[in-house]
Amino acid sequence: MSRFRLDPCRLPPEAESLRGEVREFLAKELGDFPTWKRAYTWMGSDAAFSRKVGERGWIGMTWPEKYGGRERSSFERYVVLEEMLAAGAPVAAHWIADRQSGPLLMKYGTEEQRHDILPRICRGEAFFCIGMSEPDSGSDLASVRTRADQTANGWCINGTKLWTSGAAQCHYMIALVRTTVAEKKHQGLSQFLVPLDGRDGITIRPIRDLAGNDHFCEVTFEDAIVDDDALIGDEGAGWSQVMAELAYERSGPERYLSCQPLLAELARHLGAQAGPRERATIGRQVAHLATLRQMTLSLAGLLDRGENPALEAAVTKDLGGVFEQDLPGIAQSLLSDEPRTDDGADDLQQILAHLMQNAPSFSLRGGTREVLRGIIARGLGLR
Amino acid sequence: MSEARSMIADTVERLFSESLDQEDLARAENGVWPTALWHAIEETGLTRALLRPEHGGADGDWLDVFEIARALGRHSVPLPVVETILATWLLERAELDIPDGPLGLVPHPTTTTATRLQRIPWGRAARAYVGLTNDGRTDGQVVCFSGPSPDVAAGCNIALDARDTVTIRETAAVGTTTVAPNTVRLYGALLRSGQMTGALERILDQSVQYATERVQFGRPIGNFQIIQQELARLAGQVAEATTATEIAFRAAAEARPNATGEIGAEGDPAFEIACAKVVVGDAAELGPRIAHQVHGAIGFTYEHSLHFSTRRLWAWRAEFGLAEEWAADLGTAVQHDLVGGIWPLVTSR
Repeated sequence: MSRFRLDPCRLPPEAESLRGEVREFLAKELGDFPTWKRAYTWMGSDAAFSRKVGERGWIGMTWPEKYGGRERSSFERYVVLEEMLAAGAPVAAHWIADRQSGPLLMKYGTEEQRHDILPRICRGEAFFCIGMSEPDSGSDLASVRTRADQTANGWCINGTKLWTSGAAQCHYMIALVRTTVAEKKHQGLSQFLVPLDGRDGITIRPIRDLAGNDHFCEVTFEDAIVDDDALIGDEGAGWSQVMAELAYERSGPERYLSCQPLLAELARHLGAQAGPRERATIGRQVAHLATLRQMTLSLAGLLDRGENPALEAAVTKDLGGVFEQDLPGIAQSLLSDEPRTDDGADDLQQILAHLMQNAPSFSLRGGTREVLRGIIARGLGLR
Repeated sequence: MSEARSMIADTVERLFSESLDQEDLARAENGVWPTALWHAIEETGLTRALLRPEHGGADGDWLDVFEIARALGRHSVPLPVVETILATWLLERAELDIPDGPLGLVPHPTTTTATRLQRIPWGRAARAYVGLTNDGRTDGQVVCFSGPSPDVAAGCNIALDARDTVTIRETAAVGTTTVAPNTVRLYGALLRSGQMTGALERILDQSVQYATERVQFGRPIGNFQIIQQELARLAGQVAEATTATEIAFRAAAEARPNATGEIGAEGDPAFEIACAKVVVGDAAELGPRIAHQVHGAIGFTYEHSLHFSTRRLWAWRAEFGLAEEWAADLGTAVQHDLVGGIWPLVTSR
C-alpha cells in the first residue's frame, strides 16, 4: 500500500551493545573538546581523532579483514555513526572514505588498490574527497566538463572541480570526469582515483565560506597525469557508479543530525524552568527527531538487505534537511541572546552562530532539495 | 509485514473500496447510518480485533489494528469502528460484559453516576458508552453505561461525523481492574494517527492522479516542476507520518501489560504515540494545503471527493490531543530530565 519501502527496523542486540562502548570512547576522547566545536559535527576535521577511531576498528568496520576491516555488521556501523554525530565528534577527515570512497574501491578498484589503500583508510590515515561538482556543473552533474585523455604516460586530466570538501587535507580525490564526448551527456563519464600527493598539474585552493571557514576547495587540473589503473571501474560507466555512490551519501544519519548539538544545548539551557511554549517547541523537535531516526534506521535495513534505497533516501534526506535547517531559527526564537562568536560569547551563542550560518548548506550539499524532490517526483510516477 | 497483517490489510481495503462510495459518504453526512457496512464490519471481526477468542475476538495485536485504522481513514469510513475497537478492549481488560454493536467511546474522564457525556462519536447509535474515571480517587476505572441513551443531542464535527452529547441517568457498571488514567487519550491519539495516516495516503494518491490527468498550458500539470516539487513535499509528509504512526502501533503491540502511560518509561508506548500525534498533526496542516492547491478550484467543491479526507484530517487532529499538547508533554519529560536527555531517550526506543 505504501509508496515507500520504509519498514520499521530494529537494531540487533550486538549493535546496541556497541553503543555503550562508543559513548565511553567519546566521553574519554572528547572530554576537553570545546562544546561549541561540536556544532561542526561531520564538517569538523581532526586527523588525530580519526586515527584513534581507526585504532578502535570503527573505520571501514564492515569491510573484509584482508583489507583492514573488521567484518562487523552494517547495523554496528550505523550505531557508531549516529553516536559520533550526536556527540558532534570531529569525524570529517575519515567520513567520506568510510562512507563512499572505500565501498566504491571495494566494488570497482583493482586488487592492488584495495590492498594498498583500504587498510590505510581503516587506520584513519587515508582521507578522501569527492570530485563531482564543477563551476558549471552543480545540480546538473552530468554536464561535467573536466576531461581525462589517455596518453603514453597515463591519463591526462584537465578541468576544475569545485566545492570539494576537505580537499586540502585529503590524500585522494575520486573524480567524475569525461573520457569521451558522447551524444548523451550521461554517457562517456568515468571515475578516477586521483592521488593528491603534490604532483604537478593539481592546484588546491581553499574557498572561504560565509562563516569564515575554509573547508571546501577549488581543485584545478592542468595536464595532471595519473596512472592507467587510476580509472575506477569501466570507462564510460561513471554515471551509474556515481548514482550508486550517492545512495550511500544520502542515506546516512548525518542528514538530520547536523543540529543535534544545538538541540541538546538548547534543552540544557532552558532546563526545568522552561515555560509551556519552550516545552512544546522542544517536544515538537523531539517528535520529528525520533521519527527521522526511525526512517534512517529503515534505510539502514534496506542497505543491509542489499536493496537500493535511492528513493527512500531522497525522501528522508529532504525531510531531514528541512528539520535541521529549521532548528537554528527555532532556537533563536526561544532565546533572547544573539548569535555570537566574539570574545565573551557562551557555548550556546557560538553553536547558534555556527549553525545559523551553515544552515543554508544543509539543503545544498549531497544533492539540493530540488534535485531530491525531483527524484521523489519520479518515484511518484510524475516524470 | 506479517502474513496475518497483510491479509487484514487486503481484507479491509477490499471491504471498504467495494462497499462505500461517494454517495454513501454524502448520505452518512445527512445522518443515514450505513447499516449494511456496519454489519459487514462486525461480521469481519474488526470491532473485536484485539479481543481474545472467548470473547469473539481475533486475538490480533495493535499492528493489525494499524492496518484497520489506516484503511478506515483512507476511505473516510463514517462509523465508530476505532472507537468500538478501543472500547471492547477496555471492557475486556476490566472484565465487563462486551455488548455487540457500535460502542460510544467517552473521550474525557467521567464519573460512575448520572452525567452528561460530551462529543461522543455516534452517541445516538451506541449500545453502550465506555470511558475512564479520573476523579483523583478511583483513577483509571473502566465504566460502562448502557445505551443508546434516550436523551441525545445531536452534534457533529466539521466532517459531519456524529459527535453527540449524551445524557446518562443511570449508574455505570464498573470494571474490576483499573488501567492507566490516560489510556483513552493515549490510545485514542494512536487510533486517530492511524486514520490520519490513511487519509494522508488518500490525498497523496488523489493529488498525483489529478496532476497526471488535468491538462493546462497544453500538458498535464504534473509535468510542471513546481507541481512535482509540491507533490514531493506532500509525499514526504505522508512518509514521515506513516513511519511515526507505524512505530507507535508497534510500541503499543509490545507494551508491558501494566504500562502506566508515562513518556519514556520502558515498555510504555506513550513516547511513540506522542511523537506520532505530533508528526501526523503537523502533516495534517501541510498535507491538505498542498493537496488542495494542486487540485485547484474543483477540489474546493463539494462535488469533488477530496474534502472527505481533508475535513477529517482537520477534525481528527484536534481530538485526543493536538500536536501542540503532545509536544508539550514530550517537552516536559525532556526538560524535567525524566528521561536522561534527548539523545539517550531517542536511542533507547
